[in-house]
Amino acid sequence: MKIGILGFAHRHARFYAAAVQASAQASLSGIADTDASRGRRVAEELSIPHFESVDDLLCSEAEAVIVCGENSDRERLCLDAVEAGKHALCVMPMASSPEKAEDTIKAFREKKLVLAAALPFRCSSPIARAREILNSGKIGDIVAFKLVHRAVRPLEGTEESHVQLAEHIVHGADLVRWFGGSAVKEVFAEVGKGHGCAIVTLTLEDGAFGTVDASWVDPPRSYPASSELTFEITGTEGFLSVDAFGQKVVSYSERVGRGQDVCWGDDMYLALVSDFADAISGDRPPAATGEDGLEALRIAFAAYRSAENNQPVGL
Amino acid sequence: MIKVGIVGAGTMGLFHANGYKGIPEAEAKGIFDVDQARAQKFAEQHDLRAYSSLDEMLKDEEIGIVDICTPTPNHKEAFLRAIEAGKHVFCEKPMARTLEEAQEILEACVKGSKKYSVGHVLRFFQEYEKIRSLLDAGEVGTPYLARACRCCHLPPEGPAWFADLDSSGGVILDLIIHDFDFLLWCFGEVERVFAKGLYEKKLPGKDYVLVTLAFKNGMVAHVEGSWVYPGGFYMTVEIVGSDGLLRYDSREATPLRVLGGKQEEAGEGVEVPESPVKDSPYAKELRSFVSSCINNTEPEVSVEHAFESLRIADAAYRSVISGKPVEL
Repeated sequence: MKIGILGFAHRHARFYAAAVQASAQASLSGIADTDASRGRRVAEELSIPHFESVDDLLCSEAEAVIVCGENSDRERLCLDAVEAGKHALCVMPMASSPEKAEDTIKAFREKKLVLAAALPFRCSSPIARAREILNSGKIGDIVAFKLVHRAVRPLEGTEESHVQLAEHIVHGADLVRWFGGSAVKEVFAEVGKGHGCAIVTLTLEDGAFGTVDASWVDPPRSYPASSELTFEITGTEGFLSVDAFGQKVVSYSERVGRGQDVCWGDDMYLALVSDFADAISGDRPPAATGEDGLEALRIAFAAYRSAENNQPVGL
Repeated sequence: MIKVGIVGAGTMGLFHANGYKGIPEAEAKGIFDVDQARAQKFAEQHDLRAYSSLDEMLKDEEIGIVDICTPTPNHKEAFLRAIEAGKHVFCEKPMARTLEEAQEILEACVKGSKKYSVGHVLRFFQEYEKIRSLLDAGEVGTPYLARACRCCHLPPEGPAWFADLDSSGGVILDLIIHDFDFLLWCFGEVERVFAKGLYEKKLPGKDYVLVTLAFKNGMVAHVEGSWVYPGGFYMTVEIVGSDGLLRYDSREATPLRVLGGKQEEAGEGVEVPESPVKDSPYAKELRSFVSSCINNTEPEVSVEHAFESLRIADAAYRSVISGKPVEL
């Protein structure tokens, strides 16, 4: 299955390009960027075909696209893709507002095309296994949870602060939804000024509560990891903790000048791309649907409203 | 489709039977175990044929691969008979109980289209693959020191042959032979071995050893093996070189922990750590061997490799017993 990449603004675009190339189910047809000179540069660097325009890629034989453009371009790129009859996997946030995300979802549904949200932690082997253990009932029902997700700013340049916040919160919020089995009822967020620090408290319909730390936009240069996600769950019968990047060798190399965690676990981006391809060929929903992306976005936007007013926001 | 006969219905037989389920080009067909009732039960659980003798399995022309998962002292006989019957042979590690037995196997191996390999599965663990690829990429510059350890507490309910040091060979032959194979794979030939350990005391199910290896390339390696560590299983690797240091500790790289819980096996406060990966190292090593049988290529782990790691283990025993370094 030929898959193209639309836009190269998101730093994970490189992960997706590598994942499509590594996937047994897919091959990379090429990339097209809204900024053609950036697209040419990246295509040359990665030795992959370059399309001069988004339209060129959408007219090609690619069956599906991965949308990695700027936040403000994503809904349009998704709508262009659906117009051209392409399935799409879209990085998060998938649209600039929940309402826009609803329009995108509707367009894909009408054309019976797959719209997948790039929520790759659902495809992380440790995370998926943790959820399996939780669902087996081993630690009982969720009483409380604590999730820390820290990552480097995914986009170059300055974006509006609430969009940055949304970038970070969606992944944690989605895992809470995916594990929780109960909808998020209330959101409270404290957002630090200027540094993208955010602690978001979520309360679920069934009373379970917890926090998502979506901070740490720029990790210190001396820090060994560029991304972290840990999830601790206190259950009625036991306790579970999972670290998505915990399978690691630590390397202290003079070539880098600091300690670095080198992960050796399964590649969740590869798993997500493979799942996307399987969803298309198997005519089944992807690991995370457009609707899942929308729900995560709703939580992120509620967090933004809460931070503005310093009050909890109901969903 | 290549059909497999598994010899030995114990723990490793189970790992291998499950491993073949994920390999489309191969299928486990039958099982033989000296304990016929156990073989029968195993056969029913995995939808296999239970052979009443090893001969019956070897005479079955459909069987292409014989996979030996017996206790260590029985490896030699099964290996030799399977070679003689013209089968591909995969044998659990160690290759044989003694170096002399391994030598006999090595001499009996037929050069040609039949493939032979030994289950040095560590090479197929993702963390060890990653360490090897970082070394190859020059991450530490020129390596000069390696440390490895492999520690656990031998469960009292384990099989009797295992706890009997004379038959299993204790931690050197059963546990850290894995690390010997990994170190040889990364750093080449060993010149000298010095070891201190409890082997001679022959304490049932208890053994501990510290081994120092000097490599021909000038590197030094230290390997620890324990059956008396009460904190559960763990393994570590550290490699120090001219430009860097790599460190892996399974206790610090275990992403998933469950405490307490409803099921009996995890009592109050007992931690159950897990490191989930999609592809088990056992499935990977068997898939690699099946592919070399089908494509007539050299197995990733050859019998010569397995012989070399056994040679280090043998030297370590001789050093423990003599108190002197052993030159190879």
